[in-house]
Amino acid sequence: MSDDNELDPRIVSAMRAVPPASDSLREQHIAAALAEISPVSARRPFNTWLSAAAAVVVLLVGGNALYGSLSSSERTPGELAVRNGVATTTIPVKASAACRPSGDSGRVGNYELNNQKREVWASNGTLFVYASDTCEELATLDIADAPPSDVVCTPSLVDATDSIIGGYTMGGAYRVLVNTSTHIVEYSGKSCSLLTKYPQP
Amino acid sequence: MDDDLLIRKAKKGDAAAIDALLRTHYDTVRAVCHRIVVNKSDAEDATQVALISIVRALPQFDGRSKFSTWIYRIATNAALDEVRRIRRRPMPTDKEAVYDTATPDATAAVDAQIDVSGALAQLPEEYRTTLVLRHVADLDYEEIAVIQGVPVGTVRSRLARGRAQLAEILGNQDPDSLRHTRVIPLPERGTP
Repeated sequence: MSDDNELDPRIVSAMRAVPPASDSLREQHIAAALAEISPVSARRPFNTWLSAAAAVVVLLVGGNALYGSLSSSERTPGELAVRNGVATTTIPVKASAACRPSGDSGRVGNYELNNQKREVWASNGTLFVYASDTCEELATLDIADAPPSDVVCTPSLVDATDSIIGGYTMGGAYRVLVNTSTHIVEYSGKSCSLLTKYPQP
Repeated sequence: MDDDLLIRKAKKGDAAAIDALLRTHYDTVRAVCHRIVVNKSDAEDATQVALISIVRALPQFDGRSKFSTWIYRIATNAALDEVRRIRRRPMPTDKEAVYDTATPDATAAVDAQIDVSGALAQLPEEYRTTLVLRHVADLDYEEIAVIQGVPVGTVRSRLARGRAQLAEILGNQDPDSLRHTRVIPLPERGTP
């Protein structure tokens, strides 16, 4: 038996709710780290190829970051990272690259139902539910409209088996998904009002 | 492409594979740094150092631990190094300056309801780190024990004491926020 029961899930949710890095900061961090490849490659026989590849990657990500910083509109304070209308997760958890939907997307979180581990991703106005073990796509759900709100709400859980899947921002509204035995329930806003219920796939 | 293939390629110096691995683990590495370091700008510095350290150390990754465990150990060490560096700096007279609460972003929105950043900052470093590895990095007890170089039993006791202190601090800060909260069991995880 785990003793994880002792920590309120709202505290866990708050601990995980570190706002995502801006696109430019993320690209800056990664580009600087990739620049470290060069000294390593200098000790390798294929250093020329590797240096060229690293340079291309650095140029690409750097150029993309520069383009993003020049072309993107000013972000509202509290608006979490949204690029081209696509939300990125606000609850960083271990990512499973294999289950990721194509295109720009963010992982909202994971949950378990009937002994099946599942994960939820947000991309282009759609939620994707995957079986974690097989990455089978279980459902695609249209994300409901919501009034803009950057308040990170922490909904009350009704049943003991309910759990907070995670939070994300779409359309300027921070949303929280809750797993219940029958539905995935979405909340938003200062009063954590119910947005919609998706039947469990 | 799964992590194993990416790791094999990254160890050989494949820049695209390294890029993909960094992106896959970026959010959690950064979250670990933020929750251990607390101050935002210092946490970003720690994130940068962690990513650079990961790339430098990749050729030495031997696969004896899970890759995520190995990465979060590097992130944890980078964050703790940053905390020690901060301690050597002259201390601000205003305690609030340490928590960097000026920016009206989503962290502030969280803190309006649960001041988890401030509460974590008040915990002893070893409790805070253990809680972050468990609840932010989502590691099991054995993985945390490997990272911290302590027995699993020590991880258990640090978690228990850390949770108790965290709940007490948060309860004192906002009695209405958590006192009436029913504790909901979380899903069973791979604990020993």
